[in-house]
Amino acid sequence: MQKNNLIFIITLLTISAVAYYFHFKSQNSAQYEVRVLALNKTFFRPSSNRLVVKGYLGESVITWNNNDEVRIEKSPCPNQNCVRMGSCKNIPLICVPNGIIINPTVQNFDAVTGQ
Amino acid sequence: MLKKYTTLAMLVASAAALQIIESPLPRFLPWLKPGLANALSLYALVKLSAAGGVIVAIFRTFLASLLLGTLFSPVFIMSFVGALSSALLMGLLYKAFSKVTNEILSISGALINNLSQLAVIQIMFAENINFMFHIAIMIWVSIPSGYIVAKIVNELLRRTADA
Amino acid sequence: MKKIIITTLILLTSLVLYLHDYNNKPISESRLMMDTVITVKAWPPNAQSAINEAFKVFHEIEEALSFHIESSELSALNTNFQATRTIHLDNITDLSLKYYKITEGYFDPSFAIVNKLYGFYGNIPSQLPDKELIKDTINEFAGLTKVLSFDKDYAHLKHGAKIDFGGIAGGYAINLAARAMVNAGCHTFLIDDAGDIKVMGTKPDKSEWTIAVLNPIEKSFLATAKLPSAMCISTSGNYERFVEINGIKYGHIMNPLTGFPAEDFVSVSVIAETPEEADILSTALFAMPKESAYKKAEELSLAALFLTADKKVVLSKKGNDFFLLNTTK
Repeated sequence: MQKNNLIFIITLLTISAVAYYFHFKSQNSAQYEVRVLALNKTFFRPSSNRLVVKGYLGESVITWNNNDEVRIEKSPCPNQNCVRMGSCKNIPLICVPNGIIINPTVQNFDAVTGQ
Repeated sequence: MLKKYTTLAMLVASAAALQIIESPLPRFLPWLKPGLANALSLYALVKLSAAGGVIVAIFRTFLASLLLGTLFSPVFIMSFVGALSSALLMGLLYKAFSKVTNEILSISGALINNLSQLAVIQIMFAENINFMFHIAIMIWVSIPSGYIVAKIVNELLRRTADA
Repeated sequence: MKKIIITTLILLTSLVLYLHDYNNKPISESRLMMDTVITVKAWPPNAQSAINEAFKVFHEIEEALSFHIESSELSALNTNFQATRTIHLDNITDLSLKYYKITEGYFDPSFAIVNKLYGFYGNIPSQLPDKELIKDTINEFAGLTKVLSFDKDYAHLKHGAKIDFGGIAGGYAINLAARAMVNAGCHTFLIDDAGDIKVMGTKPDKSEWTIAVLNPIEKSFLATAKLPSAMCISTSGNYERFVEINGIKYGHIMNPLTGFPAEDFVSVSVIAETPEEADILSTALFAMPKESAYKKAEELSLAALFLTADKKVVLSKKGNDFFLLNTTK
């Protein structure tokens, strides 16, 4: 392997490690709030743990299990990648064809009213 | 001149074919894919010119989306922006640094492809995505995939050295 | 090569040093109290002791003013129709009378007697209460000024009347808890009593206090409210507490003129300087018919956000300064 390539790859890996450290740190300190975005509308987890949202193509069904893991149960998209990704807790689930994002973000709000 | 166009047309066609073959493969995250089609942009860049790489990127996304039936859908916008920005960056690096290797070009191309797709999601959905996590993951994925792509391009260049 | 390694090392060290500030993290605690979940979040210094003080206050108010606890001062008033005047009872009746006048009777703790007919305190009837009965009950027992009187040592309640301070006790408790926290030496905190929220101070990262306002029915996100320090927000709606009679849901906030659950709005959010004001006015505006609610909000120059029953979002004039709508395309 050439020296230049090696330096380049090592630099990238360092950046990756640092980025991951940041991620890890933010995850430890921040509370995660799962939000579902469909066609520019934001939804929160309902108490029934089942959310039906309308996207570009049709209705996607999003469910939560008892471990707070979220998954897309049904989606009208052709490739079904989002359904195949299964349950996730800390990484976003994105269904591009239907325009659905399930995003565990660091809580942007200090509190919620009207729940 | 004619030969250049023929080569470009061939590259576009095979890049589109690769993209179509790639599209139904299961992925861990929606924007993580091998990116084999990028190999042909890189090949066009090295063999022809920076403009050649960009042209292959633009036309192959159009062609592939047309055949997949996703033209002008969010999927198309993502792959278009990703391929275009990756071709542009690779062209820039190629022009700016004489000593840059294909591996570096390919890895940074793959990385910027993923990053710009993430940025598109961010803009399209105006949603704050956890960038740190994705950068970390993307780097891990881009290095092997970019490396493999570079090896393929090297082999292609070697075999077509006299053409 | 050497240079690269040295630069990387320096960068990494400075990064690690930079990341090493673990102070200034808030502590958050939630407890089940006053029939709901109360969350207090506090930033150092003195965060934990201040939180303990805050919950002490909530406990004290619950003991004094709960409708359900039999030993509370309010229960004494409701069962014996006479109770010794205590600080909390005096304060909360003063506040109630003040806002009873301001809201023209739309905020009325004595309306509990009508809620009782609907079965809000147990024994849900199989039929809707008779209209005549509701009318008679309102004439006889509703109207705070009519049923409540004081002498030197005692508060008196008209025989047969009922008072529930549910719509104000939370706000009152938040106000006292906030004072207790400041006295305990904590200056940055947030108190959340089921959507009745008070913020105080400036967070270490200097970011603004941001409160999400939800559409309580579809759980989608209506707006964010930017709150300056010491301000309060409260949301009222009929989605949380209701009774079901013959399969139809009836909410707990009544229009005192009709004796029927208010149904012009899905929810009303109000931003005000005190938690009592936010709490009471959001409830009162919710109880009003649309036009009077909008009029009242402007009259009191309130920052208010209305979500109407037909799913429209309406902001009061001052509401534009505080609420940032989540506009949908």
